[in-house]
Amino acid sequence: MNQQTQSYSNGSDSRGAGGSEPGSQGTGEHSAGDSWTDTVGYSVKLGYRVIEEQIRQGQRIAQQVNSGTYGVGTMNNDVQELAQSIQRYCEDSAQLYMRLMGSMTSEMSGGTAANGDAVNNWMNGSGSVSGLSQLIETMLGNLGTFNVDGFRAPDGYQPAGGFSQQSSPGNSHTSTNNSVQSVRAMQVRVDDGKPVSVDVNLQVTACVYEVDRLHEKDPSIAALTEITLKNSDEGALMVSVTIADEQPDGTYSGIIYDAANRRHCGTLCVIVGTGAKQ
Amino acid sequence: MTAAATSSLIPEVLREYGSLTHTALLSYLPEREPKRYLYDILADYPTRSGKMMRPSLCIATARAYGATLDDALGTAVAIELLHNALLIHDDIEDESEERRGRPALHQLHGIPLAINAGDALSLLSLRPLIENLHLLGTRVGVRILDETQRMAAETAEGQAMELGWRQDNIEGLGDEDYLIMVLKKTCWLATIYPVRVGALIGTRGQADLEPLIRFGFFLGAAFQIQDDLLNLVADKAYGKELNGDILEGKRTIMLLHLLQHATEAQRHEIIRFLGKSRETRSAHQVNHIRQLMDHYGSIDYARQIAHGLAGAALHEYSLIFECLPESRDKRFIEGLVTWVFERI
Repeated sequence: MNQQTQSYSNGSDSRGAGGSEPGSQGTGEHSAGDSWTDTVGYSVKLGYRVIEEQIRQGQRIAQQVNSGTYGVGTMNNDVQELAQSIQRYCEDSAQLYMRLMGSMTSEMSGGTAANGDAVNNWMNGSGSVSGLSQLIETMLGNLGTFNVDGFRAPDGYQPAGGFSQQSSPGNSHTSTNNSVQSVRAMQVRVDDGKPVSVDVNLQVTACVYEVDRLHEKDPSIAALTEITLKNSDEGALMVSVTIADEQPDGTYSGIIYDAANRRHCGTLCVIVGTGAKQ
Repeated sequence: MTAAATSSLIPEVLREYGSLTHTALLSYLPEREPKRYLYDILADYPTRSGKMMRPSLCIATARAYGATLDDALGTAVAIELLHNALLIHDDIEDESEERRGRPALHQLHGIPLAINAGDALSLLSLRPLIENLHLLGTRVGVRILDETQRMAAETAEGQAMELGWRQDNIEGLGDEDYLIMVLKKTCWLATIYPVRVGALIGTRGQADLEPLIRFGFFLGAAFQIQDDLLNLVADKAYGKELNGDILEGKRTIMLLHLLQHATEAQRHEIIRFLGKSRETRSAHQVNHIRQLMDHYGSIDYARQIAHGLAGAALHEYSLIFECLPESRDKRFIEGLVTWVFERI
């Protein structure tokens, strides 16, 4: 044990209590000789000072670490609440919309197998279903959490190879692949005959995405590695997941990174087989 | 809720959620070799009966917000696993002799094996958190992992503050320094993290977590001060050596108060005592410091501080939880604030 004696300063006077508040400095903080209410009141005031400073520090750290991710944390409370409400509304609306679309495509196609056809058409941006992505684009506006549920690719489905060339009229984004752009819509292509559901959650919209692999919780099951996230010229985020026939059913999850700096900017989850939402 | 109802509800819920957590926890402890040098050792603390306040608070918060028990159980297990892992390391760092009424782990197995068991136990706590990605979805699962990372960092910082103060025999500490240290070292793992992840689970990530920091801090700080008081006044049922904190040189709010109010000669005597190694501190000196705390009202002062913090905790509780439907879990969370002062 080191036997030296040192003074401690927590950015305040030698009594360490922040200095300026009544009862927190000098010879003493409050003593038992003070009235009960004095000491209790002092402890409450001191406690609030400590925790408010902690919250402010947490906000500063979050801002530094996740600049761009938690930017709303720097706004004043009213604006922050409004921004969060808008973001939640967009997320909720997008989720609801995508679920409705899943039901609609199922009804339109008259059953599970046909549903797969419809989805496949949508994914390839052809026929009457191709318009859906424009609607999705409108609904999403920017980004949020959205699900693609209950889609079943048809038996014997062969991937078309490469992403569709779906157009997005009215989209003002004209940046090229691998450049920074906002996510305006999402396309998903799943090269497998099994039921799947895909859940994408993005917290940062303006970056080039990459996913290393999607792991199942059972470590003995091989991870999904053929995943591509790509921004189209039209501003759509296109997710491609290739699932081999022999891939076991399960839930495969992974982190979406910003390719520029490897910061975590979202998650991707693919449920294969019986656990997929129908 | 009446005081009598509170006093019966809290132990009842602690037993129920504690038992469920304990049963689930056992399934995460590997049944393979090397048992003697690792797995039997790391299973020791979790099988000693703790209060199970942390996992119970997590489950109750999640359920108060509408989650099912199963939604929260894995996270509760992770909390308890990590808590026990940190206890192993704390006991080594504090040179403690007892834990929950029995010899501390390093006293039984030696420091190297105990450190390794603590490391392994903390890593095991990741498993249920990873499983959350499937159970709760990646969005909420990753949010909980983010919270876990912050809690771990805050806890390590708080422990470092306290260890550093003791190692360098730091003088001039005040109540605010103590509360900052307790906020980090105790509150994040014991109360802030359980309520925050519980709220995340119950709301599927939609809860505003900031008010929960305040509630968790006030509850955790009152809990820690009461824990420090029990170390000075409790009987053998407390499970740790009486006056052990004085012997270990811990900067409790009672000790800081004493240092501020003792005479200059007494203060130098206490500082000299704190500068000694643990094995050279005598029982006579420990008892003398304990008597000085009585003389200068340091015990009563700490009680008053704790009661003030508990009052603030109840205020914050009302701001957060009043909007939720009445439930047993809500009553449990509220009742914990007063239970802090009733427990042994």
